[in-house]
This record gives sequence, structure tokens and C-alpha cells, in this order.
Amino acid sequence: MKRALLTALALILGFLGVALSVGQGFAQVPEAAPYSIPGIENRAVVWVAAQMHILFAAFILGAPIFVVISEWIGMRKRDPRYDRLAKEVTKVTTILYSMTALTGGLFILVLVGLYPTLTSFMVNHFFPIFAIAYPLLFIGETLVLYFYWYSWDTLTGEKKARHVAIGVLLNIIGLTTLAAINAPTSFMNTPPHPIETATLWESIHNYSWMPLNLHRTIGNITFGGFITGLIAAYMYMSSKTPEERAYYDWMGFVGNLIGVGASLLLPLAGYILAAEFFEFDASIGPYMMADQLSMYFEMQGAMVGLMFLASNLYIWQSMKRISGIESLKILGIPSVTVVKLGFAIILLGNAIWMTPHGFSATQATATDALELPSDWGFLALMPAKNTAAGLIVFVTIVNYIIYNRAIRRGTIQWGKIDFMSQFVLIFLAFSAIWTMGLMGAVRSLVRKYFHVYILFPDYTPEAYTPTLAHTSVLVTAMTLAFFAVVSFAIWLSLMVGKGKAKAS
Amino acid sequence: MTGQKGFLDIIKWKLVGSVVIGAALWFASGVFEFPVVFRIMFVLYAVLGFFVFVLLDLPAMPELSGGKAIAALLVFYLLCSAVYTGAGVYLPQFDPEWEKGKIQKIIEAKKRAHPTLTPQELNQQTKDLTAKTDELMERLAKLEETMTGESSAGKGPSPEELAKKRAAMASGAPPSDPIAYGKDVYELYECYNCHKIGGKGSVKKRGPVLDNIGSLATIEQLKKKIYDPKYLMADGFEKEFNKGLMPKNYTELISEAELDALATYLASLKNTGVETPKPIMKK
Repeated sequence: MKRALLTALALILGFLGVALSVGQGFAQVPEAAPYSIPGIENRAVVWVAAQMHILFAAFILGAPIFVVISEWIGMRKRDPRYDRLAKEVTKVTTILYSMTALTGGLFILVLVGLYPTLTSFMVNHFFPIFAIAYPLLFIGETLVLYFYWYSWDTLTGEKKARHVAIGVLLNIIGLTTLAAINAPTSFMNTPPHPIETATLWESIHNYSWMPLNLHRTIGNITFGGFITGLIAAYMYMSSKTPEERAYYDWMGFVGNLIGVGASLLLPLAGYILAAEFFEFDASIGPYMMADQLSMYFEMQGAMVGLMFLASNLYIWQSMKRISGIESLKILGIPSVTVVKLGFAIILLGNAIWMTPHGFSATQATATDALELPSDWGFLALMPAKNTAAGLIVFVTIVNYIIYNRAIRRGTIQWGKIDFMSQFVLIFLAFSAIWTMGLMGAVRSLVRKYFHVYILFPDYTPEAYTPTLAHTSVLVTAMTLAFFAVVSFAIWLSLMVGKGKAKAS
Repeated sequence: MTGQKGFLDIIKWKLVGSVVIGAALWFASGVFEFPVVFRIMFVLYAVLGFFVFVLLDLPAMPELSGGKAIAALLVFYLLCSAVYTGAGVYLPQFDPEWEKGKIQKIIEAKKRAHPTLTPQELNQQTKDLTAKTDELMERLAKLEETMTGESSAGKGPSPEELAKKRAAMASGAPPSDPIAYGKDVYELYECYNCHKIGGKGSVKKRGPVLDNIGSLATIEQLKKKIYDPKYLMADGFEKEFNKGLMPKNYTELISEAELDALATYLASLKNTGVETPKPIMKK
């Protein structure tokens, strides 16, 4: 704990030093040449540092939300499984917290080194956030997280409610930190106008700040849920006893439920964020949906479709381990048939969701040969997309309702789930991270050739929109790197010494 | 739930069903004149459906542990990586060359506005950009060949044309032909995202077709409209006008010289053969 605190303190002091010196330094040397790293573009370096930081940060901010809920349910129901889930996820969180701090530090350093003028501008513009609010929140988050973790076995029994309260405090600080750092992030997309007379609050409370807060909060819970599924899958695969297998089967189910449950709201949150971009500047809409980024959204459609198929496949596999499922009927139709019909509807929904207005990555080269026939153009419009998303969400909810009815009649045989389901959980985590990387790039790229949209142009050679191919390669590499670290953290925190602990 | 069905038993009817659905989608989309790329996509949906329904009925997978489980995980990660990266590479790509040209223009404008920047720096930037661009173009051409099995020659601007364009942009010389310059500005600010000229541009109804705008509005009116979107409205675009779809920030983005050129170019468009909505004055 001491090491973590020292690391956090060193990072904050370093950041304060940068904050205080950068502005003065560049006032004296206005044309200071930024560094460049041979063999890799400056943008890619910052991209990787930022994305890795966001992935770790998303988990450490998203996981505590359902961790504390799980702990509370465990306390109320007196079911030790919920407390164990909460504790194991928190254990992984504490390790990943260090990675969040390290990648955050790396992000700051590469920004200062490679984009000094922009960093100077942002730090000066948001000085109270960067120099006061964020460091204080970060220290608060560090102290409360470690207090939460180290008091787990002490604040038990009648004192358990106090421990839950610490968890709630952790989430309040976490969400405030998220909102604080979302301010400069969203400001880069939708700065207030005119900037010369804008107050700090107007810069914080810009067009896309609240939609970004909403989107990231829901996204973080989804992400945390799917990572919990990943933890459960790894642990299930390494389980030696039926009891362990039963517990991790249950944990995987809960993780998937959290991930899927939160993800049902994500399309709406994403739509609100995109609508705010569009309200801010109507040219962003076509840039995202019809021009340079249109194929990014095609890819996103495919990813979301696959994730909903996979999560429903997991529900199907979960149903298979309920005794007596075969006799359950819905409106006189065997439940198995109803679920299969649901898959046909999801496929139809995905097909509509993924059908673009055209297969050209820019309207500059759009021709009729690559576009939907005019009579079928409605397939690419928002009413059709909303209907498709509604269908997919509806079927997913119906599947959970069928699952609930099945467990009222039969018994769940925990630990007896098809082994393939563990790969489905891993697939969901992998796909969620990949999609986060892709859509994070989209949010950043809608600034076009500006660092801060309209206000601060990006004159560097890498200001162009990268191809989807380039982005896909980079996002895949980052996803694999993140998986490697998370897999190590799971192994270190939950697997090492497991045998010894059991023996003792 | 599937008993002990063999693999062939599991797939045979699903395969038949998928082939029938795929064929029906192929022919039906042909009847409704969908382009080939969409017809292929519809067939791929049928293929996806086949795999999903096979997965639903597969017997339980044998459990793996130890080294086998780790190896299976690694293969699974590689497979996911390959599929996602492959899909990203396979989908149509935006050619960054267009945007790079724009950025070069912006740099050149900055150079003219701020003579303190050394020409060597900008020359070096231009050289670096050109080298990167050429390399990217080669890679794109190879990629296209790999995907379609055809040479990319004859599709879009050739490397020679792009080199000429780059040279023209990098020269920093004041544009001598205002109409050509205006056309460049039209592309620079991506007006084609909402408007259509010569059959090229937005397929959705965002902004009016402009083929005959020169017969309906003067240069001054067009200039006013670009800087103040509420100045006039295209006939039949009430909804879009009220929603404020035309960006309001061109006063900040488009310089006076660019505005003059753009309006001159638009005023030169007098193709009476294409129905162009009439302007209705609002101010």
C-alpha cells in the first residue's frame, strides 16, 4: 500500500511540476520542436498510451460500482458467493490500479514530449482541474481503494455496513474523477464558443460533457462485467474441485449478466453522445456516419451484433444446465424453440443494424453502384437502426425471462455448464475491449484535423484520418497487450498460492 | 437438449436451410437491383446464421486443463485478432491522401500568414509527407489488388495525378483559376457530404443538389449563405433548414479568399438539365 501511495504521490508531484513549468517554458521558447520517436508516428505513441490508460482506468472505475452492489447483496442475502465475487474482483482491481497510474504517467510524459504546445494549452486552460481537483481526487481514490481492500476482513459482521459505505465513497470519488477528466476530453470535441469569454465552468460543462459522463459510466460497468466474466472463465478452467467449478460458473453468469444488463443501455447512451456532436456541429454527423468514419461504424455494428449473439449464446448454454428446461413452454411453445426463434430475430436485427447506406468510405467517391437502391434507403436510416437495436434488446430480455422461469421449475446445476461457454465469456471480454478501442478512436477522430475542434488545429503530418485497416491493427495490438497484463494480474492475484492457501 | 446427434445430423438441415435462404436473398436482392456488394453481404448473413444455429446444437465441448487449456486460449486469441483485423482491413478504406493534401494546404496557408516559419522546415515536412503518401498509396494499391484480384489502375486518381496535385498545393503560389480553386475549396471543406454535383456526393437528403445553382443565385448571395446559413433556404428543405444542418462555423474555417473562390465556382454551375432547388430568401 505504501508503495502504491508513493507511486501516486510521485506521479502527482511530477504532473504538478509539468503543469507549472510547461506554460512558462513554452512562453519563452514558442517554437520548441517536439520530439519524435523513430519508426513510429507521434500520434500512434500518444494513441497507445491514452488507450491503454483508458482501458485500465475503465476497469478500476467500473468494477467498484458492481463490486459494492455485490457486497451489499451478499450482506442482505447472507450469501457468501456475492462477497467472494466482490472481494476477488477488488483484488484484481488493486493490481490494475497500479497499471492505471503507470500508464497515466506515461500518457502525460508522451503528451508533454510529443505535443508540448497542445499540452501547455490544455493545462493552462484547465489548470484548476489538472493541478488541484484531479490530484486530490486521485489521492482520495488511492486512499479509499486501499482502505476498502485492506479492511475487508476486519470490517465484518455488524461492521459490514461500514465496509459497504466505504465502497460507496470509493464510487463517489471514482465517478467524480471520471467527470473531472471527461471535462478536458469532451472540451477537445465540443469547446464552448466564443472561447475568449468562456468561463471555466462553461469549458467543463460543454456540449458533450454530460453525454460522455453517461456513456463512459455505462461503458465502464459493461466492461467491468465482461472482465469479471473473463476472471471467472480463467478460474473455471483452472478449477480442480466441483465446488470451485460451481462457484466460478456462477461468477461467470453474474459477470455476463452485469455486462449484458449495462450494455442494453449503451446504444442509447452512444446515440445521445453522437446527437450532441451533431447538435454542436452538423458536419460531424456525416463525417461519422457517411464519410471518413462510416466504415468504422460498420465495423462497430458487426462487433455489437456479434457481442449480442455471443451473450445470448451464453444464456442458451446456461439454460442447458437447468434440469427440466425441456418441459418448459412459453405460450404453449417449447421454450427451446422460442429461444431459437429469438436467435433468428437477433440475426435479422443484426442484419438491419449492419446494413450501411453504402460501401464507400467517403461521400466524395459515393456512386449508385455502391449505395442501397433508393427504395431501400430506409434500411440505413435511424428509425430502422433503432428498430433493429430494439429487437435485439427485446430478445435478450425475453431470454433472461425464460431463464428465470426455468430456474423456478428446475434446478441449476452449477459447474455443469458446457465448457465452450468459458470461451464465449472470453470472447465477450475481448470483443468489448476491441470495440472500446475502436469507438474511442472514433470519438477522438471526430475532431478531424484539430486537436481542439475548430480552436486548435493539428498541423502535424499525422492529422489525417487513419484508415480502418491501420486502426484495426493498432486496436488489436492494444487489446492483446491489455489481455496479457490482465491475465497476469488474474494469475498473480487469484491463482498463485491458491493451492497453498487451501492446504493450510 | 440435442441427445447424442452426430455432427452431420446437426448440420445437414441447417446447411440446406442456409443454402436456400442464401440463394433466396441473392436472387431477391438481384430483383430489387441491390448492388453486388450488398447481395454478397446478404448471403454472408445466411452463412452467419448457419454457424449460429450449428453452435446452438453442438454437443458439450470436452473440458480442457493445464497446457491444453492455455494452448486453446492462445489459439482463440489469435483467431479473434485475425478475424477482427481482417474485417477492418477488408472493409472499404478511406484514402488518407485526400486529407493529407488538405493539411498541406493548411500548412501552406499558415506559411504565407506567418513568414517567420522557416521554408526548410516546411520543405522537410512536405518531403516527409510525400514519401509517406507514396508508400501508403503503394500499400493501398497492393491491398486493393489482394482483395479484388484486380489492378487498381484506372480507379480514382492515379499516383501521377496525385503527385501533380501535391506539387500544385505545395507550390504555395496564389491560385490563378478561381473556379478550379473554388472546386478545391468545395472538396477541402467536404461540402459533398451534404450536397451533390454531377451525380457525386451525399445520397441522403441533407442539402440541395447544386448543379444549376449558378442560374439561381448570385456570387454575393452564395457568399452570404455560406457565412450565414440562415440567410436563405433551399426550396423543399424546410426541415433541414429549421434543424440548422448547415454548419455555422464557416466564418471561422473558410478564409475570405476561399469564400470568394467557392462562391465563384458555385456560381459557374449552370447545368439546367439537373433539377436544383430554388433559393428562398430568409433575411
